[in-house]
Amino acid sequence: MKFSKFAKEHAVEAVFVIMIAVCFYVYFVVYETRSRIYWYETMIHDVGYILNTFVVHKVHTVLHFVRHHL
Amino acid sequence: MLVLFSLLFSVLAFWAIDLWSFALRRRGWLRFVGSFLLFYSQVIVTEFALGLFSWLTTLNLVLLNVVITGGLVVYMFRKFGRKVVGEYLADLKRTMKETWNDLKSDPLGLILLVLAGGLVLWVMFLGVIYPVSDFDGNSYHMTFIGNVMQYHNFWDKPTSIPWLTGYPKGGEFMEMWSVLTARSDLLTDLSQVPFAALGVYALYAIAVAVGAAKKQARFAALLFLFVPLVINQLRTSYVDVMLNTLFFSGLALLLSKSFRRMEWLLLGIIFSLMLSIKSTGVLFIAVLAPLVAWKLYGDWKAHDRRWRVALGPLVLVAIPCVFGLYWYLKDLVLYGSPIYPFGFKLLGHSIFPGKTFQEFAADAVNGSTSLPPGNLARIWYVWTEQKDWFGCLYNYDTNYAGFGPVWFVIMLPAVVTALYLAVRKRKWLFVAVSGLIGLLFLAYPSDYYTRYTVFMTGAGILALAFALTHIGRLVGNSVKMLTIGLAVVVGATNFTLCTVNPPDLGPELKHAEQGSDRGLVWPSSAFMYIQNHMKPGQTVAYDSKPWFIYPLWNASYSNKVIYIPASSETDWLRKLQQKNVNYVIAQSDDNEKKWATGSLKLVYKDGDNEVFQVR
Repeated sequence: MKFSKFAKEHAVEAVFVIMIAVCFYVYFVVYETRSRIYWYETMIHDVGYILNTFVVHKVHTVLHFVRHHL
Repeated sequence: MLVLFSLLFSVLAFWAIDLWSFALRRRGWLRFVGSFLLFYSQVIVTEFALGLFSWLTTLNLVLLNVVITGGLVVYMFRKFGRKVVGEYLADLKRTMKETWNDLKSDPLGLILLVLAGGLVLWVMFLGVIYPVSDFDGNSYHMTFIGNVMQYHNFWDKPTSIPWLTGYPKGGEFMEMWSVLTARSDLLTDLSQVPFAALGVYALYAIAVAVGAAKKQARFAALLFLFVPLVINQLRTSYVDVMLNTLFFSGLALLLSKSFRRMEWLLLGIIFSLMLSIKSTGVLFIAVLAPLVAWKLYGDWKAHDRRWRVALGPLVLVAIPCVFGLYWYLKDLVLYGSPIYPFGFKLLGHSIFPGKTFQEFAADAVNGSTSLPPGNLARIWYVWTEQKDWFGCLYNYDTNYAGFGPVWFVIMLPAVVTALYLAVRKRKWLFVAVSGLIGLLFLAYPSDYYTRYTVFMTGAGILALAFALTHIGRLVGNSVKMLTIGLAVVVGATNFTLCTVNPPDLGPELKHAEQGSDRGLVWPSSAFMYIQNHMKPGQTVAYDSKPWFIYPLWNASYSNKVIYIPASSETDWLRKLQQKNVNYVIAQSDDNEKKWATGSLKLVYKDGDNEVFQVR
């Protein structure tokens, strides 16, 4: 297959992928503030909080709910 | 036990309608949307009918619906015989088997489905554990329901919050079904969960109708559940997911090939619900109008160009709209503006008195906002998500957060790609549908506010489904894998549902664990004080500038909550005695706080909130 034919057939896909790459870069790299909030404040904080609160120590919350509300 | 009963009865009532739809040979999307809308119509009509006569109690509502559902089942057994249940179950089994076979051959779709299912189940778990803790819910959505529980009707009551009287109540009518049948608000903040399912199915149906492959349509439609705003609102008493998914349903319905009298009636129900959920519902209807005209034109041609026959179905659209229009007529008569508390201006001239929607929105974001000036700049700022919201990036009502990374990274490029492909392949229906959604975005006031414009993600979902259908498998699967990765990011950054600051999550849970009533850490412990000290039948009065009203009711709605309009301190104090008020809560430096200070005994203070004992 000639390169020109291959390029013509896949040009749309190539542009689509390039646009995705650019948007990924803009979203995750350019706006560093947003990324920092994502990973350090929201996610890690809340993962720890939820796991600690709901799963490790507070399983009986579910049992309490079942007893008192249902 | 009542909560379980409420759930089971809802399932039974829905099942009876679905069985009827099945017996009428409705299948797939048309059957689902029909059963869904007719179930909520039954809920609303019975609540409305009982409320008209102040008979809206748990017992009356359940009895009336038992009669309707029971009557429907008996009617079906007599008309179609008992074998219809066996056929229904066999069809259900066959559908599940086919779906499972489809999913087995589509591992990426299966992964996304598992992720979506897990996320929704987690949201539902939080919804059950936590009380209703959203701003607008505690201000007016849930307060309306509290009033219904107190007065057994839906007439406007004296209040100092104009939203409570002015806002159309379609969303509240659907939300209060669970409160009335369970006598508890335990499930009320999950009222939008069924609508999320409706939205996913509708988007799938639209995508298939505009030329996407079923496999790609299924994958793309599931991404609606990975829009941060959707995830966050699924555990609130807000109504934006309801409104937007009804719009998708209207679109899907109008694109269906089979369009008979039942479909016209369903379209009327959708229009009525959209009108009764928010006044901006009229914009959604306006955008659907060209498709309605197209259907009517088709009917006109099919009926020898006789207008009378072609326009006949519009009666079926108009009948359900009585409910939707009632709220506007009521506001026009009582408050002078059909969209009260908003006013309306045309070309600068005031048609109805009051601040316009745009003026309200501008006031809400001016001052302390980090948003840049200019609408386009705001859209970019929001869609790239450059600012957090009190430590959380996402929230059910933040005007800083966008539609998340799936939208920005995957769907935006997909929109450009799909439009190019559609034009090249002459798929004009796709272009037209995308154009209508785009038009709605342009027409919508304050469109940078993602809560109002969730429908835009629909354009992205349709575009992704279309693009995946028409590009190579290697690129398509690579894009899908990246999408799944981003969906995981969305899930991981949204599953705590930032309704309060992260440090408050633990203390709030602790209160829930102790079986405390609603209110909890947020909005204020003053509400907890009142709930803990009020006895059944006692009355609390709120002030003229309250932030929240709903948490003043205890969990069993056994106390009374009222507002007392007064012209002077003497007048107010006299009315407190006349109405047998036990407590007063003042949430702002308003007249009531001044009048109560010195005349009544201060028994609790928490920040700006002060609780006074009257007797």
